[in-house]
Amino acid sequence: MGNNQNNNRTCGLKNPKLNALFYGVIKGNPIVVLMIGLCPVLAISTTVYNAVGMSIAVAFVLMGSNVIVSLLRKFTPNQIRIPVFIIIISTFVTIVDYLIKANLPFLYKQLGIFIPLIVVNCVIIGRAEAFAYKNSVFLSFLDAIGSSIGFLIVLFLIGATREILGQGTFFNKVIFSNPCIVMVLPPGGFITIGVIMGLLSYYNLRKKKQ
Amino acid sequence: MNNKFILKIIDISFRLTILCVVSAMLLSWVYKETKTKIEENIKKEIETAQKDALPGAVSFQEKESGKKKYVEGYDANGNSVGKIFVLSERGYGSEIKMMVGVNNGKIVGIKVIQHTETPGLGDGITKKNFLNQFIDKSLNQLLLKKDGGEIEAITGATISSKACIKIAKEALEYGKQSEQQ
Repeated sequence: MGNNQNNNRTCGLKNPKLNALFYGVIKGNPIVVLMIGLCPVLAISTTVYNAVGMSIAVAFVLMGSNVIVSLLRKFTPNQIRIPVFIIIISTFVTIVDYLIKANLPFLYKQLGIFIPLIVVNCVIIGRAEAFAYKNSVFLSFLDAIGSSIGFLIVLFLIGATREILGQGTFFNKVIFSNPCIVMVLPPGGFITIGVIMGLLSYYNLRKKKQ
Repeated sequence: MNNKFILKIIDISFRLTILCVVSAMLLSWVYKETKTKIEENIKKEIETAQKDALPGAVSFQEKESGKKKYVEGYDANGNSVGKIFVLSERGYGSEIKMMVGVNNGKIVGIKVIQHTETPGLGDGITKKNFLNQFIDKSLNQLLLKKDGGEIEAITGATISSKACIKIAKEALEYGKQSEQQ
């Protein structure tokens, strides 16, 4: 994990619990601030349904892996921490994969290969390495909730933008016809995420000037 | 010093092994718990697709004619109501896989099972108002309107539309062949 996040890993709250909970939501938002885990974000955010389904899957894996990594942090020697993280994460991902396949076949058809690919989602291994390996179980759990909420909010925004503009629907309900198809295609994903990041940078710059 | 090093290696491998075993046990348990449901889902999906392709059929039987496998559908009285062929054809993105129900030289039902056509353009082939055009059409009617047939292509997706027509035609031909034998 890069040095740029090491020096500034809090969001200025005194209470370490609240700090852990809110860090991932805005200040350390995995997508628009840390810019990790972008591959599934771009690929899956074509509709709100997909975006929310993906976020819930990622949230489950993130919470599970953060808690177990933190539980096992004394058991895990430093040299093999990465293989241990990978085993823990892939176990949770496979569980999610089976559960979705069994209970939500429609969602599984939509997400397809991107569920197994959560294994290599940097958000999860990033939080394991940067936070859970060094902090208590409860704090790690709060951190996972925070990052999941941050992930969900951004993915929901991108998904909603792309679905409304690209298909003219919202949660599969038709709003208008003749949509702008490019928004559903890959370029639409880049445009949307770029605009969101740009707006955030603009806001931060203005805040600094004041 | 050397001894310490070896002990360290053993310690590390031991820990990693324990973790792997626990993980494998957990996964095999989850696999066992979800297996029946997953298989049920797949079966249900195939069945609903078959019922869509052959309206009125209640039971199905796999058969083979020549080298082509197909599914024969029967109604409640045991009379054959048609045959289902699963065929694929190269579309614009990649293979389009369709399930086509055929009876008496006419299409009775058609359904897309798998495709990677462009969202918003080519994926119109999954929509009802495109596929319903195929119902009750015979071999010589299966052409695009501009070629003198009765199928209206999807705007901006002629290749995808043509691939569907090709599949439907192939199904009718297979249907004819299986009846001759």
